[in-house]
Amino acid sequence: MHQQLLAQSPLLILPIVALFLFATVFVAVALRAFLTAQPVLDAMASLPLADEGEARHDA
Amino acid sequence: MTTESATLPAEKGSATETVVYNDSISRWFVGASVIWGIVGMLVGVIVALQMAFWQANISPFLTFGRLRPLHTNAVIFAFVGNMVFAGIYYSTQRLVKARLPSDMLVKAHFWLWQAIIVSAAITLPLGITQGKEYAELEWPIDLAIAVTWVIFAINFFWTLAVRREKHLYVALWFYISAILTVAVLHIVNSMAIPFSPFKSYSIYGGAKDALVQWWYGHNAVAFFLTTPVLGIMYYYMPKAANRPVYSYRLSVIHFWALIFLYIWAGPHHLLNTALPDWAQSLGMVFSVMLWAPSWGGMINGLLTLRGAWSTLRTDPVIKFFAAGVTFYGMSTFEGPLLSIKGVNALAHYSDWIIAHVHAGALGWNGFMAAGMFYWMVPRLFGTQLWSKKMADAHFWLGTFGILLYVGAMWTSGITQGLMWRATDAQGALVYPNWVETINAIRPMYWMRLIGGAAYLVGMIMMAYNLGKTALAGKPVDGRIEVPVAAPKEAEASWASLVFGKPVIFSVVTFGLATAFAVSSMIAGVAFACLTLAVGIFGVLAVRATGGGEGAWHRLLEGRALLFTVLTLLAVLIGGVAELVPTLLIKPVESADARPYRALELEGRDLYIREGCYNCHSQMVRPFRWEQQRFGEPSNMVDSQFDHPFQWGSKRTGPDLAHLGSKYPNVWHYQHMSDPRAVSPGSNMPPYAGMTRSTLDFAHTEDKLRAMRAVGVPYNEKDIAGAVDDARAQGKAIVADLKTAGVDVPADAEIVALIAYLQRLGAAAPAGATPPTTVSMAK
Repeated sequence: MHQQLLAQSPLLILPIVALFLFATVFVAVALRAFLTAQPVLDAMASLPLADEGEARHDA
Repeated sequence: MTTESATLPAEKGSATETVVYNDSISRWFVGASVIWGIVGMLVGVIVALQMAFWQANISPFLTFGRLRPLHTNAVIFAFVGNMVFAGIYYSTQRLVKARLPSDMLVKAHFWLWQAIIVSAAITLPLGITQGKEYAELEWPIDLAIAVTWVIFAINFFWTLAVRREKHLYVALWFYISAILTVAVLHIVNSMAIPFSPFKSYSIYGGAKDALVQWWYGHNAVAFFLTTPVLGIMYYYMPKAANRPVYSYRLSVIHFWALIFLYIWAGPHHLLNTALPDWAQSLGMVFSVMLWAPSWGGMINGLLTLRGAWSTLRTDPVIKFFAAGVTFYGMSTFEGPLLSIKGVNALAHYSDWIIAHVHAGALGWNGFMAAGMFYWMVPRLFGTQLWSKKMADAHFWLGTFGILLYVGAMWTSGITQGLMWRATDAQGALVYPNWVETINAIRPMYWMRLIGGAAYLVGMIMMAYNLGKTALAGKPVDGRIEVPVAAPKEAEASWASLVFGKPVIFSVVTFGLATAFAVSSMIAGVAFACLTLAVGIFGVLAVRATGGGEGAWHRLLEGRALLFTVLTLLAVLIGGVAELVPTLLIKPVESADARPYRALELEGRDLYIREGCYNCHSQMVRPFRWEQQRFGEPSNMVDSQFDHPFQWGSKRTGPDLAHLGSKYPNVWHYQHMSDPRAVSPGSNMPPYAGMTRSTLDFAHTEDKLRAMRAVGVPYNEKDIAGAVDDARAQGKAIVADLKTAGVDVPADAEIVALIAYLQRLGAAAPAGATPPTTVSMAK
């Protein structure tokens, strides 16, 4: 089927390659995220709460 | 406004210094957002009224076609734009523990952006437009937008460069992607050849312009209305709930998946059109895939409120955030659904799309803005919110408004879609008269008006509440103690990042996967096995050597520049792979195809000036019911000389792709002067003024020259004789009108518009005569 598609234009290899690139990077990122230790992630997730030293005002 | 320096001297002997944030800029942007939001939504209410009650088109400068772009631009770029700038500047300083480095540059950003908005508010009602949705502003304003965006980028990245926090929190990733991608989108889509101080032609034409425009249009939604607001969600929701984001792990996946996928989805705006099938399929597939990261983000946002649900009853901030994220989930479920070709066949060009975008704009953007403002303004002014009760009332009124609006447009859209395609047992159209479909949905237009007005009242209540809050306090700039000389973490080397295990294994896996895709059946299986093996080995190898402090992604996040470059690459890859093959296509040559004659081109510019594309498409889809109603399906050749393309995205009126030769000239004259004279029940604005206004041919030659510069095959003779040809064609039309008893000057605007309308779909050779006149009661 891909030969039929490519018969329209050799440039159509571009989206196919890009699709596989996406899939690869996505899998790599997902694995990376799942393999990162929880304490590391907890420290990152708490960054927005790290400026609690500011004067606080109740909404 | 405070002008305190970036840091205050530390007490002698202490190991800390005080950083004072520049919060003035956030106060300004919040104020601008609220004011422009009210203006933009007021214009929205006016255009909603015009749809239900055509008499509300009270002036040629205030017709629906001119005001609708003003509404969309005001809400997107003025309301959400200013809100995003306020949120980004406030949160970025705190996330990196550094003040914005240049007070002058942030002021320049603010005032230039407001000047751009004012320019839009002046030029759009004057009919100065490029005729491309959400990119209507003409080239001088486009240049100003580019300059302002660069200033914004400098402010942002300069702050990152002087940061005291090594790690870039996930909200900042979303901001980075927005800043980079919007720059790319704006530059690529706005490429045009100017021929006068206020007019230009897009360098892209027909299907190519359609693809570029909707690549831009879709990603303006993605990277202007979504990713920065997701960044805001990731910062402000944890702050409001006083607990960290539910899953940082999920936020990492959310980010990379979203930016990789979003950039591909643009062609879902062009399903079943003359765009090449492969591009349509890409748009559809990637749109459906988008559902996963979008809902991942929504779930992450909502679950951040875990343990804080009790505050939902009492805290208006949490209410707005929870509802906003819920609307995000609803819109991002509906978007992929609408991107399925079969569903799109029913929904496209109908009010269903209007329902979809307003669920996103009012529910997601509007409510996230309200939540952020109610949280931020008391802190910016060192006081408490003036009235929680009023904020609560705003929430319920806004929710009522959205549901009424969206419910009305869903009903209207599905009604339209079904009526357009309805055929009887003999295969004939059940509703051949277009006006029947308009009359059927008129009650929904009134309902929409009430919903939109309720939402606007809620916005005014918010403005009053925030104003009273500001007056009750005084401007306060946040400050924080930081170590004088923070111990500098060892920076990961480029080599360790670029040649890190995850990259190596990704490259190898990618190469094998590509080989699998392009190889034969047997070799493909072998490559698939190899890919799997390398993938598994890679996971085990990376896991065995570190998922802890030295993790690759964490090192990457510490290198802001490299992170930015990779984000840009992720976005560009999709854009390049999708755009390049289409941009290099040459439409099949047609012997009949000829460029517009000079008067037709002038008429086309009037069509664009009046914003006719806001209500009329020029794209017949390959469905039986469309062919019965409008004629043969459109193809790439039909619009190859259209710079910009005018396929449109909405059919309040019928498709015009094959309008030429369908009616005599006098029908068009009557219809434009008084639409209801020939089409009783129509809600189209009258354009009687065009029978009196005259055309200025001073720029006609320049127009042909500019068109030639973008590839339209005009020769020197065409250009030199353009004005004479325009006058000759005008005289022929005037003579024809005279036989029907209509007297009009040959240089009247209506004559040029008729020339253009008669040309639509008529690929007849030069010199073809207009259709035979039939008598009409005046």
